[in-house]
Amino acid sequence: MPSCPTCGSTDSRSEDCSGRGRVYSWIVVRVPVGTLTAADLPCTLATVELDEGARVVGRILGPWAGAFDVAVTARFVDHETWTELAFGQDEVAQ
Amino acid sequence: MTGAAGRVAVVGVGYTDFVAASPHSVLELAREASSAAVLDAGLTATDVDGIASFMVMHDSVPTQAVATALAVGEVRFSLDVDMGGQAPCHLVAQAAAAISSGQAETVIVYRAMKGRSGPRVGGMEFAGGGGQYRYPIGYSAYMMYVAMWARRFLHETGQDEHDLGAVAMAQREYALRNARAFRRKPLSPDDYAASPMVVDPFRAADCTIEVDGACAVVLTSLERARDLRHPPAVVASGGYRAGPRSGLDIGDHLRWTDYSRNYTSWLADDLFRRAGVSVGDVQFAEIYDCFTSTVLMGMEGLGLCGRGESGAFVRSGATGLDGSLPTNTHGGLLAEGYLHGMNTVNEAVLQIQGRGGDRQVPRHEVCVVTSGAMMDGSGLVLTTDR
Repeated sequence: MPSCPTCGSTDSRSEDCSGRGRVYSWIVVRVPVGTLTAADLPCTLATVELDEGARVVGRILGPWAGAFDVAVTARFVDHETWTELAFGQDEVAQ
Repeated sequence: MTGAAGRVAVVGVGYTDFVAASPHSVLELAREASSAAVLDAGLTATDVDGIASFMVMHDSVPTQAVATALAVGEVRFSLDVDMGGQAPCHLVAQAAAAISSGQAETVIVYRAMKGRSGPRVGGMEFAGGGGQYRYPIGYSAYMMYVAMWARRFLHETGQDEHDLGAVAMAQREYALRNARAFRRKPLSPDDYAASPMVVDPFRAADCTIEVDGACAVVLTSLERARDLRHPPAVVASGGYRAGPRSGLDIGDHLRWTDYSRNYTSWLADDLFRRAGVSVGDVQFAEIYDCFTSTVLMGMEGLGLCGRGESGAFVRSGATGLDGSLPTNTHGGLLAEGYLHGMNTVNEAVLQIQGRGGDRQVPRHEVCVVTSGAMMDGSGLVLTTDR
């Protein structure tokens, strides 16, 4: 985004965030659609509300409770030319 | 609106067959449906002086090509938009505005696509730049985005997957009465439950069925419409509406705060007020349904039923042919086929004109039509000439 979608301002700065958030919604892809192939399935994708307020979508890696507001933490996955922001469910049940 | 001055009506509809793999080019499909619509109205191509359509990326042909193929002599109004399912009602409203402002007299609106054998809209990367955040992680199909909304919508409104299934089953009843429908087998609760989960919470039966084909409508002034072959379907109002921060492209919804409400919640007041009707006057509805959830969300957003009550409303039979609000009477995009919501407009016109055949709704004086599923979309109120 070149500007703020709420006020239109072009002033911006980067801020670090904790990588913690809660699941607002999620899907489980079970057939190859879009760019996903059979090897990627099943693929759980979640919309995560970061504690700092922004919303992002990432894959859920590891165990997944399948519930709203579950606490998750960022997990970074290195690929050949880029690093993926994914999430894992926090170990302590929320 | 009062009086005939400036008022516009849809006067004809045209279709190709909806098939899995058409041997014809998209241009030929567009020409066939447009020509059929002109003929249906009792007009000829020389009466046409405007043409409008939409495509996603490069999946169709421009209006210039279709006007040329139809041998339209004098084109005064041409409109091509790069838009998805938000477009059909929007284009009809723009065509009506062009006619009522004197820019054109008679306008075709069409959608043509080889949506099954050719480029499939659902998996395209759209212009706008939002895709760079979605595609690398596999969040890359329209079905996924609407499914993400559907789960939150069902949760916030206290509904569940049975409510999605009710939509698929209710609409299939209509498809059994529609020879054009691509899906024409009955859909029982067991059939729905056995339908494979594709993008949880959606089963295959929750998803539109892609087809190759085209359809079109023709509009002209109400004054002229009264002399034509069929009763006019009057455009009482039409409009487009985007909610705040609608995103970088038709799949970019990260700045949209509430996945339980789509554009219909913003559009409803404008649409009904400008038509001079209230939601209670609406006798039937044609709601954009790329997926089952968008029907529920659309009915709640327009106020056709209460928040959280749409699933029960459908299960009660209210949206069936004998119900209080017949809805998606062609079987919808779910069953008739994915002509990207243009066929939803065509169906509304047929019903208003009393040409619904075996699926004709008994009360057909006022209807609402929508185009679009998520952040933005458009709608129409169509009425008989009253």
